[in-house]
Amino acid sequence: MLSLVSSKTTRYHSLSTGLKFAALFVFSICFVMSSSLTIQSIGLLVVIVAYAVEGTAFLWDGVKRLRPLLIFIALICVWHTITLDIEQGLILCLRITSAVAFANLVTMTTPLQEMKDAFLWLLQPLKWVGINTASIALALAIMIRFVPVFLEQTNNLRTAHGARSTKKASWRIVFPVAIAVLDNAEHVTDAIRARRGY
Amino acid sequence: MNTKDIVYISLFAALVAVLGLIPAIMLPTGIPITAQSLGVMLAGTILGAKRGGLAVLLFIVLVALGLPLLSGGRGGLGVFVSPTAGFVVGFPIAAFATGYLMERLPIEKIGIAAGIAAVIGGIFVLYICGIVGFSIVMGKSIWVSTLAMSPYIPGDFLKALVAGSLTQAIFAARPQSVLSKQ
Repeated sequence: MLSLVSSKTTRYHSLSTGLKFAALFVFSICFVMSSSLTIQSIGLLVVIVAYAVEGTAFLWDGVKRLRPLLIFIALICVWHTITLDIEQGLILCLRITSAVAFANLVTMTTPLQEMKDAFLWLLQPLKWVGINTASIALALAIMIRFVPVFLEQTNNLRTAHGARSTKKASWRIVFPVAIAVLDNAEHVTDAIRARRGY
Repeated sequence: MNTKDIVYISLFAALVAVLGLIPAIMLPTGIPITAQSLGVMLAGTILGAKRGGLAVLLFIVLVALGLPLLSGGRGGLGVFVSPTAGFVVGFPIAAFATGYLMERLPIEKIGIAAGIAAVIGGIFVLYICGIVGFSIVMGKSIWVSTLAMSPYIPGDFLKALVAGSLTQAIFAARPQSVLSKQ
């Protein structure tokens, strides 16, 4: 299964997920909510140091994961250069970069199973209002199991289409994939009913 | 919620994920469009409001937990503080709205009903969430945010058309599986 967790084991991996979430919350309150350039700069510096203590490769990995932000940073730069409000533009760039980088750090250092456990723990209060959290855990497990299955089926269909046509499969592939999903749904429902008894 | 509902919700969440991993189609304007929001529309038109909304919510939970399932291989908690956070949060709301309309529109032709539901739920509702989110994160006015998002709207209208015709075709092939019309 695909994952965004870093392949390098860091000191943050051993911290509890709850502590990392609390740190993210405190960071957001202290730095992200502020509109001071100095505080925003300190915030980004804190995040850079947090990555850098794990080595240059880890820091570079973190930087690479910020690539989707580039277009927005460019947009902010252009806009604030036109409106001559450079300081506000800098504050925005620093705020977005540090917030996303810190959240990414939590994602990179928390394995999926730990995230899942923390999420299901957070859902515990739902039991008091009669919501069955076991069903949510089952739904998560089924989805995680079937993403690679459908991805493989999609790739097979695209290969088959490519072998028969000179055109790209594009959205035409969605119909057979959706039919495969619906057929699988019937089979999986029967299989689970047979095992769970309902 | 019975076993069938749980399985349909989970597998449709997986479908939305897989559609985001299909390579993007380039519009003549050079803007890439991915099939992920098509998946959100289909979740509503095929599963209906409640199951469609929950399927996309489940998908978003997996993204938050750290799977790179959003188009372009994005995922993790960072997505929820980025400028496109409004779209991610708006996905389940859009699927719910699409499904709600699909269940209630008094139009006999499934494809037309699905197309209209996809335009209102999958474009109008989704862009309200997306533009508000963009405006908050980027500190820009709603007008400027709408302008920044406008190049993507024509591609989404194409997706709504595709969602309508796909729902019609799926209804013809597997009528019992289009739960929004049961």
